[in-house]
Amino acid sequence: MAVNLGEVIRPLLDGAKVSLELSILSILLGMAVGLLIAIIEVYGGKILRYIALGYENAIRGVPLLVIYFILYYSIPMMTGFSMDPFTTAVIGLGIRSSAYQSQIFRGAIQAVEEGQIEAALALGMSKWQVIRHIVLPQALRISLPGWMNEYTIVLKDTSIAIAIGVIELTRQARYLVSYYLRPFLFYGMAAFIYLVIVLSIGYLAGYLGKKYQIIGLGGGVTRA
Amino acid sequence: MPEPLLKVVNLKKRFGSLEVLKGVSFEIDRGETKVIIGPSGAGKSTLLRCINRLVEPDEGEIYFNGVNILSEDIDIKSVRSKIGFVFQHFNLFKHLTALENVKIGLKIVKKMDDKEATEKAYKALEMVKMSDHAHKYPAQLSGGQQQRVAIARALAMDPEIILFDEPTSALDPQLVGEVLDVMKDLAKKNVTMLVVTHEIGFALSVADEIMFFYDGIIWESGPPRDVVYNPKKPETKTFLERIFELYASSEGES
Repeated sequence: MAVNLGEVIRPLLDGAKVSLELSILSILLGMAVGLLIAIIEVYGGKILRYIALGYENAIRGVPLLVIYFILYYSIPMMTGFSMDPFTTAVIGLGIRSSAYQSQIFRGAIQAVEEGQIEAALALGMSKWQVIRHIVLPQALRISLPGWMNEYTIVLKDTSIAIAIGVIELTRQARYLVSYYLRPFLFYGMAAFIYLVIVLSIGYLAGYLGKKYQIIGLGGGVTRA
Repeated sequence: MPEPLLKVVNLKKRFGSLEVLKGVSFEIDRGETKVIIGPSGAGKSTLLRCINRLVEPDEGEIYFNGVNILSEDIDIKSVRSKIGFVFQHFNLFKHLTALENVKIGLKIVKKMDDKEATEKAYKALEMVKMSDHAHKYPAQLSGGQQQRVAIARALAMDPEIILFDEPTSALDPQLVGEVLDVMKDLAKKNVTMLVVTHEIGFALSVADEIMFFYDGIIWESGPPRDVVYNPKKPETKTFLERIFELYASSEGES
């Protein structure tokens, strides 16, 4: 069957848009949770710290596909509460990413010297003010390269959402393949779109890294 | 007689089996400069950190303006904002310029508006002759310049006393002078200071008293000249001789 490029590009771009939305919402959810987990792991009391570490290790030990199936099939059966595929995908990917992001942020938080924290406390700041005004502004800059790398992983793993029926880029490619029977062409086009997004993110990271770079502070981004 | 600004009574601190402070007592009046000398690693830094409770002492009392700041109902943040602290390794905030380093305490702790904080920070930077470098980041400054910014950061808060923890020990020899000059200047302006240092010359020129910290207590104290040139205890004498030897040999080399 002849392929009309105008006809096939549209569903692919629609899929890419869903993938992009899914990746952005997931990385942000993962950031909010991951940052909280990291702060607890570094500054929390003993019990909270164990809970946070337990969460991190448990999530890192379970495949994303299994997380999706638990959220999409097991939880509705147990609780009667169900979510649409897209929301499920955001939460699953966000949770999975939070475990990895917490590692990135924890390392960055620990890279801020104890001496600066002492100095801030000596000025009369509260523990929270120290975290907010001294630790996080430095830790976020330091974690930028690792965080951008995590984003590219999240973006690529949006393709696993095909398993719970999210109509994203890979799903659209597979649909076109089943119609036109041209796997090389359509999976190739999907791969190309993923690649373009990942490379763009790399450039954005480089730009942000330069813009927020501070002399003497880590976090400069080297572009691939 | 007015009460002393700071009065430390029988302060004790233990880390595991190591008793670092074994009952330290001393006091400082407003406007005084006191210098603590003594062997490294003996607990002088711990002593300073106990005074603003960056380290919690195990026992004893610390009266600041007559109030025991070790009692439970004390708001330690408010006490700390009145006690300046200058660290051996400067500890400037790396993501902030010199000016912002000085401003941040004013804005966040003292809740000043930006304009007022900027003016006050510039005044403090001028006192340490660093206003020309206000917009540089710590990594762009020499050690001596960083330490002067750190002093400005403490000064801007209008502290009632400033604690100095070996402020020149991490500096290259040629940079020590500029920091000591600033500190001498403050002493002359009657800023109350408690200084842990090995700079005997500084102690001789501006201190009201030298305290020799040894074996967890204030072993010997008195007017600088008496302690330095005529120490009463053999341990003090041995320590000072070693300091003098060190300085004589390093001067010989350079």
